[in-house]
Amino acid sequence: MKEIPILEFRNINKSFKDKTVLKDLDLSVYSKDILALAGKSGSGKSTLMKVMIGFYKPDSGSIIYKGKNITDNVNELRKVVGFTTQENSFYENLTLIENLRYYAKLYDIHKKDLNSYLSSILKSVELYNSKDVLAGKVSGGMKRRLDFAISLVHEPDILVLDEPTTGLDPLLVKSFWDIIKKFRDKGKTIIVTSHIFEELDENCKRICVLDKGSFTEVGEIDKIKSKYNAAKLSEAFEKIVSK
Amino acid sequence: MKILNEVIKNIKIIVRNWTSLSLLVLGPLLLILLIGFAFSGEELHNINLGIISEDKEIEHILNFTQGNINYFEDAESCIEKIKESNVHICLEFSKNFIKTSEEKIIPTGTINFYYDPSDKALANLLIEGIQKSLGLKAQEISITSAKTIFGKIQTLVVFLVGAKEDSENLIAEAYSIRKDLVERRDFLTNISDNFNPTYETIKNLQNIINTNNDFENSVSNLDEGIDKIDLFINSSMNYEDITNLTNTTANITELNLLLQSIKQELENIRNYGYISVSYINQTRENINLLIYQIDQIKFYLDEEIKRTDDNIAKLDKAIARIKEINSNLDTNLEELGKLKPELSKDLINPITTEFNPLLKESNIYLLFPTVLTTIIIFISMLFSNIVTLSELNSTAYLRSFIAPVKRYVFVTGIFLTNVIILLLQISILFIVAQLNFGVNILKNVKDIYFITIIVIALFSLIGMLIAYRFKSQQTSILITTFITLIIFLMSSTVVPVELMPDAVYMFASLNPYVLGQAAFNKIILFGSYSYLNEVYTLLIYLLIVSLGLFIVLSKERTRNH
Repeated sequence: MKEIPILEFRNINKSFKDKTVLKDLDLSVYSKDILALAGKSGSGKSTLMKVMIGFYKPDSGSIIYKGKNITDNVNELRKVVGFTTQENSFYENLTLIENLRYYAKLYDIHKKDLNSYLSSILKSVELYNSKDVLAGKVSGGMKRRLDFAISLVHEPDILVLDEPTTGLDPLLVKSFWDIIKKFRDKGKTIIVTSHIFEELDENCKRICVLDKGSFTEVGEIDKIKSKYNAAKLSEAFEKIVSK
Repeated sequence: MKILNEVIKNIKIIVRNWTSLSLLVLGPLLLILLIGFAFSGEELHNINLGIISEDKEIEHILNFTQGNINYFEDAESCIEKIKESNVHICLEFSKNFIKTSEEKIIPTGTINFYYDPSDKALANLLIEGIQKSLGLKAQEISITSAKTIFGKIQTLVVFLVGAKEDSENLIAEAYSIRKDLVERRDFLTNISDNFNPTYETIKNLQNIINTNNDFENSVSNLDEGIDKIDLFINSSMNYEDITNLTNTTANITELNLLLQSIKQELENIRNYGYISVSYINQTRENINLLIYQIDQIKFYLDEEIKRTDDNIAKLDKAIARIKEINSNLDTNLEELGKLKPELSKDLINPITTEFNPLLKESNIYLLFPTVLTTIIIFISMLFSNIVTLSELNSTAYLRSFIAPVKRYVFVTGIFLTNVIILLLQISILFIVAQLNFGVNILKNVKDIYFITIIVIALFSLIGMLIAYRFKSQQTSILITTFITLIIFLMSSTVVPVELMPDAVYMFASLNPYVLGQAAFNKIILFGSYSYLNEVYTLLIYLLIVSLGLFIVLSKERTRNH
């Protein structure tokens, strides 16, 4: 039986003034998938991500969530998508738990025991012990995890992670990916961008390569590597973008 | 709820930032203390006054205590010092400005002021102070001189009153003399009246005496008769016929003897007659001489009466003149009597002006509404601009932005945060003003807070609008500062708006800063509740700026979508 995508982008176009940034993009994202999004600088990767998280509305095309067209209901998309930026997207003068509480209220999370719920999130990203520390005072790895934790507050089905491991040492990178995978295993769908192709090769199942606003390759990483006769994903990427 | 969440988050962020916290609490405290301290001075000091004069006595006239006095030989060198900022104002005194009279210093002449007009406030204060000092001195001198003159007039009045009394006595004396003269004239007239009939009689007698020669004629006739008798006698004795004629010689002899005797008697009579005539003539001459003297007496008597009459008439005239003079003297004395030394001040300063400021509070009290409005506009605009920019440029903004929350929640959250924080700051200002500077905030606390909230709200929204429109921190803060400065300068704080050209005046009089200042002035200084017009206009501005913010946000959403 053919798997139904949790999120679909159909024929997405986005322009800024006269410049077309995204052109007739079609993308299907499946549940529990870890999808890598790759592309050179200026390829439209950031714009696509902002469309995915509901920051930009596409000029044309459709966004389908679980079979429902939510193109015109951007808040619907925002509720099901969590976003982790390459910068730390939280308030450094709030504690970790305060950051989570703020965003929980922003997302209208009215749980009976909100504190326990937020604590569980912090525990899941191994930050619980530092919950009352100001976000600005914790280490870089903890900040990345906090950012990730915040994106989980509203229990999204899809997590969009923009360069989530940038600036982390290898140990923290591995630890971070372990957490991502843990949430994937819990049923979350992950869309991730990174310049570190080794990480993508190791942790992602599928990849879509964006170039000049269009997908040049979309598929499983292993298949793409075979297609381009590349031992590493980075080699395959170089071949794809140099076509 | 979400707005409250937003406000709490914003306040926590601001409060946990030490810089913000210090600015939040210490900033306004420091500001009001500094301003309070700076504005607490009531007198000028450290002023360098330049004097262009050779006379050092000028110092005493000026009574200058606000700084130092520097003497210059000419205006140019003093002006040069003003340009170098070493002298604040130069006073050039005309030559021989100081004159001494009766050991008193009398300043007279002209004074040229040279000052830097760019520092108008200081220049005005200095000029006003010096003019006041000189004016008072000149007035003092004039009053002293006038007092001296009036003193002398008073002495003259006293003298004239004395003279008037003398003249009254003189009139009385003249009347007495006149009475004597009248009596004398009457007496003389009486004498004359009594004398005249006698005189007439004497004159008639004289006339009679002079004109009646009967006796002389009789004597003469007698003499002729005697001669005839004598001739007859002699002829009878020689003519006997005659004896015959008479027939008796004895008789004739006897007749002769008789005739001889008669003749002798007649001759004796004639002699007596001649003697009598001689006596008569002598008497006549004497009478004539006497009458002549009587004539003289009469002439002198008449003359004396006439002269006395003349003198009486002259005396009457003199008395009338003296009386007239006395009457004039009375009128003049009455007028002169009004010129008393205590009137000197009124004469020197005929127009008495009294300045009654509605308030006699300290500088900081009077300036508090202006200071308050200035602090509110600067802090509100810059603070809200920076807070909004911090939010917009925060890495967390994207996350907040993509939350399924309407934009107004964030905007309202930031707005309310700004208003709350600024109210807190202004409250500190109010507490310090109430406790340290005696500004009675508590008296109309509700109204003051009402106006404060509206002013803060308006300027916060302007700051936010600029931040939403220009997201670059540098550009946005620069624009905010620039607009704040325009708003500040287009008020009466630097130059009265009434001095500005009509077009600018229109703008300046509708300047929200001016309106806020006016509203605060009314309620804080005068406790007047007539600030509603200003408040209504501010509310209209609030509406317009809100609309502007709405448009900017709508455009932004359109751009993103």
